[in-house]
Amino acid sequence: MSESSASEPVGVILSVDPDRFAEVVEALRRAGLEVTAEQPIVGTLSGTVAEDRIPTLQAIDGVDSVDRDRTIQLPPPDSPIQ
Amino acid sequence: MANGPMDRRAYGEQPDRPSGPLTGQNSEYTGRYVVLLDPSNQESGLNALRANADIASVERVRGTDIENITELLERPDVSVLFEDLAAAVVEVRPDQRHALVTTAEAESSIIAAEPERMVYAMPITAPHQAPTEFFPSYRSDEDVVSRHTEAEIAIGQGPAWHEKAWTWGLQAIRANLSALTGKGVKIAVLDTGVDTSHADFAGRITATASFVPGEAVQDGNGHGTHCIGTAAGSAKPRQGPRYGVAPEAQILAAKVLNNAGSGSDGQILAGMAWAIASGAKVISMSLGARVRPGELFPQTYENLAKRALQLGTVIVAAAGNDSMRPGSVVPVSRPANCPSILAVASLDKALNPSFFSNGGINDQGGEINIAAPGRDVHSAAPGNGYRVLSGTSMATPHVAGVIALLAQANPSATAAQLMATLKASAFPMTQPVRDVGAGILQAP
Repeated sequence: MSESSASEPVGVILSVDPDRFAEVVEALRRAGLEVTAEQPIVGTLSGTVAEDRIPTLQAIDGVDSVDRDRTIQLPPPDSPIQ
Repeated sequence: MANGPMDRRAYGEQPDRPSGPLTGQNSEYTGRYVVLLDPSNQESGLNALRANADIASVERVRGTDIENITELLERPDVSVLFEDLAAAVVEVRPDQRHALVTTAEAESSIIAAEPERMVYAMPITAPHQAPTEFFPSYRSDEDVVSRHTEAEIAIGQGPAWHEKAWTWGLQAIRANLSALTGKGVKIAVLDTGVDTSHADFAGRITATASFVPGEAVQDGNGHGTHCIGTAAGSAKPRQGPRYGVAPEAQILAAKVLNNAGSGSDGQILAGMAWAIASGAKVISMSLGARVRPGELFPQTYENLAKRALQLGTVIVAAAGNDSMRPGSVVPVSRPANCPSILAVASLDKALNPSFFSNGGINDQGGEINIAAPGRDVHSAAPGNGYRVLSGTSMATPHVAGVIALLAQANPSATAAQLMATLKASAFPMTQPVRDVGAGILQAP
């Protein structure tokens, strides 16, 4: 792994080719992705990676998409608009 | 103009006129004209009308002299001038009406002249009250004018909703007329969990899962229980009107947002995969994150949604509540902005887009697909209770419930066919497609 990946790890969600899920996930791990959850049935996974490694992940064969993991926040329970 | 004695007493008790009402497009006219005069030059306007339009002789009425006004107004040979108000109710022969209007236009001391109309009040808030009152529309009484305005709004909005047996939302989507119940169909709701002991879900929570570290599926927030209630609350709730669209559906409750209402995309993906693997026919997601105008949908969600459709699961998601209409319409949130996920807008009781409901600002999936009741929605609350909430979060599970009904009616339909049927069966609306998509959700 490159020594230049000093940037902060960020959360990502990815979709990969479900037909070779395990193989692609292994390549992602080797490229620096710390996998937190896998959903082989739909071909998605989530994890953390140094921000400057995201283009490397996107370039891996069998990776369809890489999106930044975002947090969803509902309004407070007493808010009239939900 | 200030409020004067020219109020209900003077006008409200005005009987129908024998002079033969003119029938306008939607209006009934008395045949008289109401003329507003320049207060400092009333005589000049009246003289012009006398000279050109042959109006009846004018009786002058002072503010305190109200006793004989009713009688005066009834007399077809007399026009009445309210001197304090510089306004006259003018009797004019039918063949002189045109002359009166052209004189009023030409004469600078006449501010306005218009036919006196019959106005019937039909307040939406008092549906049992017989519409017996009528008022002239041209007047200075602000209270009456505001009632008139209310009545016009009420006419535009249709009948008041009675929520004794059914919530207004179930009536609006015609679920109250459907014999379908969603029996045997699995609805997954990804949210803050569920009150597993709520009587209205008894025996129908098929599976639960929490994807929130350290939190059980039990709903410590209330949002999830409310959404599940709308999709699948009982046909005979413990209390109050029926509020569940698919009362015999099986419930899959996934906790992807913690009790504070917060969760990550990673948790939601995990919940979606669990729901699909558990056989959900529809996944209801009353959650989302705001996007910027022009922002593209998240490709990972889109890929997942396409895969879900192949595997037999429709995904519906809330459009988001970030707008402040009419001034500000914010784009559909993610992940509802994915092309393969149905984005649901919120309607209020008048069947208008709710002020907060996001709109189809972005293209490429960012459109609204369908609109459903999302304002003042009565549904379940933790502790075996009930609550009224508003939001596209409340609109979304109405759609999930209807998909369960469609799936029950068409057991062999694919997810893509269910999605297409849902959109095709929506009732088209007059509001922009940007705000309501295919229209208002309708139960089969």
